[in-house]
Parts: sequence; C-alpha cells; structure tokens
Amino acid sequence: MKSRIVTLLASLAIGSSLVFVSAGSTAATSPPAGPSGKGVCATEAAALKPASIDTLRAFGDCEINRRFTTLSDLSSRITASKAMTPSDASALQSEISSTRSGLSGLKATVDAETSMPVLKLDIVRIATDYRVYLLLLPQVNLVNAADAVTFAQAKFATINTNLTARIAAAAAAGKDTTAAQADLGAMNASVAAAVGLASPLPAQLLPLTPAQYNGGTAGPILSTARAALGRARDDLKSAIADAKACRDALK
Amino acid sequence: MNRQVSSITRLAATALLLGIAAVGCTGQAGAGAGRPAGSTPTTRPGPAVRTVPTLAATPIDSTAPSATTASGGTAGPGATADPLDGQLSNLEDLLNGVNSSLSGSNAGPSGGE
Repeated sequence: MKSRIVTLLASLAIGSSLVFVSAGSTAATSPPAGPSGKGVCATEAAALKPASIDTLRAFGDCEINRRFTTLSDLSSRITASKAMTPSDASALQSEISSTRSGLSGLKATVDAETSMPVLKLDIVRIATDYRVYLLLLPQVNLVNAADAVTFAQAKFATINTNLTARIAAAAAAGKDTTAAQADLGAMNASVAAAVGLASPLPAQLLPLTPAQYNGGTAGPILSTARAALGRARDDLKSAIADAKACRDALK
Repeated sequence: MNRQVSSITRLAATALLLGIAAVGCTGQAGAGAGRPAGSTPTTRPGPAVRTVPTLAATPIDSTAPSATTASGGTAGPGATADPLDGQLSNLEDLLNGVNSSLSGSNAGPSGGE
C-alpha cells in the first residue's frame, strides 16, 4: 500500500510538471502567422496601382490592423510566459501598449488625411516609427529566450542537488564515481556558460528604440543577442546530456 | 443417536467456518502476514477468496515501477518513478521553448518592414 501511495504521488508530481512545462511551451514565442502575416494586405497593396487617397488609406489601415493583431499576440504570449521575469514582462507590455497607442493615433491621421503626398509619408511611418516586426517582435522573443535560459538555472540546481546526493551514496557504497563526478562538473560548467551568455541580454535588448533601429545601431545588438542565445541553447543541450550521462554512470 | 451425530456435525461445521473466517480476516488485515508456508490465497475457500483482489493488486503495482526502471528510473523492486526523469524532461521542453523564441526572433515573412 505504501509503495502504491508513493507511486501515485510521484505520478502526480510528474503530471504537475508536465502541466507546468506545457504552459511554458505555450509561452514560447514564435513568428506571427495568419492574420498578422505579411500577405494579409496583399489585396490592398495590389489595389495601389494606380494609387488614390482611398486605396492608400485602405492599405495603411490594413498595415496598422495587422500590427494590432501582432501586438495582441505578443502581449498574450508575454502574459502566458512562465519564464519571463515580471520586470521584463512589464517593460515589454509597456512598450507594446505605447506602440498600440501610437499606431492608433497614426490610424486616425491616415483616416483623416486628404493630401496624397502626406498620406504616403504617414504610411511609411507605420513601419519606421514603430518597427513592430523588425524590433519589437525580436525583442519579445529574445528577452523571453534569455529569461528562459536563466530560468533553467534553478532547475539545474535541483538536478545538481539530486545527482550530488546520488554520487555520495554511490561513493559510500564503494562504487567508482569518477565518471559521474566529471559529468556533473561538465553539466554545471555548461549551465554557468549558458547563463553567462543570456543573463546580460535583457538589459541590452529592452532599451532599443525604433530610432536606433533606423540609425543602424539596434540591428547589430539583435544579431549579437541571437547568436549568444544560440550558443546558450547549445550549452543547455550539453548540460542535459551531461546530467543524463551522470545518472547513467551511477546505475 | 442420529440427532447427537447431527448436532456434533453441525457444531464441527460451524467451528470450521468460524476458523476459516478468522483465518480470512487475519489474512486481510495483515495482507498475508503470518500465512503458513505453501498456502496461497487462491486455494483458500470461503471468505479467504475475498482477499484475492486485494492481494492480486500488489504484483500489478509492482510491474509499474519495473517499467519505469527500464526507462531509466531507480533500480530495485518497488522502485517509483525517478523524479530526475521529470526534471530533465521539463528542461528539454524549456529548451524547445528557447528554440521557438529564437526562431520567432527573425521577423522573416511576417515582417515586410
């Protein structure tokens, strides 16, 4: 009976973990699709030949609306993220809110504009003033990834405690634990490397502005962050493999 | 005389039934503890038969940890699921989330800016 209770509790614990993890996976951001995608305004873009006030306005409204959809999607993902820190989430939600507000104002301008040349400039501003796809979307994704790497550190700390206890027990039983200790050391080194790469990134990414993107200074920061997170991801992958190797070495 | 024999038979039968019932109760309460060697629940008549489902559950339960053990859990009889498996699985899911975020950080076809 006791073993049945233990088994049941273990199953519940794993089940809870899976629920948590599935929530975390849901939180993982991915490229917007469907209504927010580039092709959404293809009809309006085609209607611009020849351009008129009405066709330009329709195109502008469409481009603004698809950004609204993307912003809502990003906001929902931030809310659902279990890995993002509250301060990073708050900063990004604030950025999304101000972008939405700015685009709402621009939409009112577009809808009221009667001069074709001015309307063209207004439509260009939809992209250049807000950089929803080239800046804000990468910011949300990269900050989420960076926070997830840092979030993993606590999970690995638990695994480290678990494996350290197993190594001690195996050593006390007279077993050679050299390989297991080496694996555990490698795991901890990989985790430290990953966190070292990821933890400075939110502070670099969050302050970036559309003006910096337009000036050419934000793009390289995004690229560098993306590359660093790629290496951090590989480090975490190695750390998981090391943890498994450590566990197997003790069998 | 016949009546006496009949009474003795009834008395003996009652005593036997009470004895069997007592053994059956002991078997249920102690989950087979103190059972005579060579005696199995399935061969026991009467009330002892009721203990079979309870006792039969034990080997069914014990197969579950064995299956877990085969997938990397703690070895040994009666072992439960290894929590390390769940923790590592969580981390793999977290890693998939990092991958998705990295993929999503490229505006790609959804951009158009």
